Amino acid sequence: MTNADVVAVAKAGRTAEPEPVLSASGLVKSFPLRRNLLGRVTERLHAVDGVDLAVAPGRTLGVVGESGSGKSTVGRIVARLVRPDAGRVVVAGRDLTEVRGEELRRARADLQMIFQNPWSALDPTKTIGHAVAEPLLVHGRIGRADMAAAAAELLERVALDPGLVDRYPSMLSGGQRQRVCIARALAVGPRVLIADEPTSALDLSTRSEILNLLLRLQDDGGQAVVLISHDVTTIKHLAHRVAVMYLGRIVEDGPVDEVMGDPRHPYTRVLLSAVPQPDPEAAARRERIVVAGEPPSPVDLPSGCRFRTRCPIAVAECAAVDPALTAVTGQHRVACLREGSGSLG
Amino acid sequence: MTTLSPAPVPVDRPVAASALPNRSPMRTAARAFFRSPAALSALAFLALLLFLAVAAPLVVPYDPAAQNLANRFSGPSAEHWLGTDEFGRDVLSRMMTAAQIALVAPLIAVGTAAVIGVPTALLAGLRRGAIDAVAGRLADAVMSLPALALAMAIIAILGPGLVNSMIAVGIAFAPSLFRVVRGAALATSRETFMESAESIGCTTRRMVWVHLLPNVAAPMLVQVTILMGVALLAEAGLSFIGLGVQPPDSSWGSMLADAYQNQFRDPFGAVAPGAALALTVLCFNVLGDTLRDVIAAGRRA
Repeated sequence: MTNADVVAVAKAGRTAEPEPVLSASGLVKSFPLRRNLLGRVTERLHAVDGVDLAVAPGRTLGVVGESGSGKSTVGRIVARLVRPDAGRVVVAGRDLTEVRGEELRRARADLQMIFQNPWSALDPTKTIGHAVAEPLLVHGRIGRADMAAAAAELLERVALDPGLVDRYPSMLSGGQRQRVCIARALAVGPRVLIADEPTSALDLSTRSEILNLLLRLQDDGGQAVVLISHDVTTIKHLAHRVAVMYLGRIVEDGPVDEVMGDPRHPYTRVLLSAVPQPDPEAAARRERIVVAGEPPSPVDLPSGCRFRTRCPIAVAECAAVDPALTAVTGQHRVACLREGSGSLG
Repeated sequence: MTTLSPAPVPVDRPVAASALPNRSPMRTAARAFFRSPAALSALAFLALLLFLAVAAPLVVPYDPAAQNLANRFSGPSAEHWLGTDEFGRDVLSRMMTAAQIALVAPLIAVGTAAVIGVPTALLAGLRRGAIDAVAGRLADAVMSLPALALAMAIIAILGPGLVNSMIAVGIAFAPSLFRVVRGAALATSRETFMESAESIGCTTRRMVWVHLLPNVAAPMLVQVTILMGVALLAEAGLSFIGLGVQPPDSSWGSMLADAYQNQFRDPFGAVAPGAALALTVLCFNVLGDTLRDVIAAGRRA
């Protein structure tokens, strides 16, 4: 089965939008950078500033944006590794921002994370078997004696040799390690999976293997997946819906075909026009938009629309009004004042 | 999630990897350690010391406390290999008995330092924040005092004696162990696998003992070994001034003190305890250095 086949099968089966298993609303997180003599924060980095998202079982939400857009922080807030300053994360009807201590520990079984860097995501002093079966042990599903057997079964699920159970992470390649991490994340049968750039640390040849594995596992298990990536192509192939982030905000979201096929926000167009095209004729025909400069610092945000400093179609009003996400068609939403006012220079 | 579909992705069998020996990082370091001649000699000397300490009551040629005032300061002879002291007691027998103290005293001191320093350091490195700030400032404050002077002040409260003096030394040593372990714990706590441990639902206790401690064990072991040598010197120093081992028991330090009292009548007296002390401290230092080297080599590989 090729990548495209898997996607086609996965997408065909689920046209109706079911109830979300994960929903987050009003997420805000800033990190203090500098304090004055009295310990008051004088400078903050606004990583995430008012983000809502919802994912249904068996569906994948792609979160795309450049470095510093806050997409990783969103993932870490949803995974409850970072406490948000404001907002709620609801998984399977339970508000994760409210629970703490033992209850939080138990709630974590519903929500697992796959990390960006498989090289540091495995404890070097523990065997692969321990890494994979540990979630079952800490949630009291198995005893210490059953760990090896449970680990072997989990390794087979991610197409790894079960004989790896007594090996140490230093013996494994990056792709093998990431599979181990996936097996570890799936061990307790989570309903939500957060994958933060799961392939960006891997060789090109291993990337598609890992992505196909994720797709197949989602098909079997029906998890809701939040896929965080800077790579538009990956999102296009794997996600049902996409949210484009810029400086801590979602600037455009909707079904992946609509957003990619008919991008409305100037930033989304910039992002898409930067994707290399395999067909030279199509590449020659399409508009290429290059924006000036670096994104503004998330410490000192521009007034009004955050993208206006680099936006090719900005007008004076953009400096005054901070646009909200508004529906374009059905589920496709965009946050731009100039929405509907022609093409980009 | 319960039924498994047949895997379309081929099973990844690490052919090349299986040909290599599979070892934990700890065992790799241990192998390199046992290939070092210096470390092996140091270990052999300490093993001999351990044997003497355990077997002393059985192998001593004379009762170490038996006095023979007719035969004082005899000097080395066939009957008394290392001579006799001011009461005519056999120096070799006393040296062998004192080997017990040479091993037990550093263990008490470093054990105390570890009990105080290690758990605080692990928690401070993992959680940072207030625990780290308070423990760190406390460690700075204790370290700003000379260790021996502090130990003497604590002995003034606890009273003299081997156990009390070594607990005092342990309290004075705790900050240096705290600093090393806290630094390593801080670095480890930033690794993704610690975040992963949290995200799968590990308790704080499990994160500390199962994931953090084994990853800081290497630098901790180095520091513990080196502190053993320093603790032995501290014991000798405190016993020399009469705050450690109390008569009629003897340690190498108190034997040095006796030899010092009688240095003009028996200049040879200080050689045996002095040499034993120097050699033992040297062995601890060699062990610590070798450990540090093999661990650093393991990190590079």
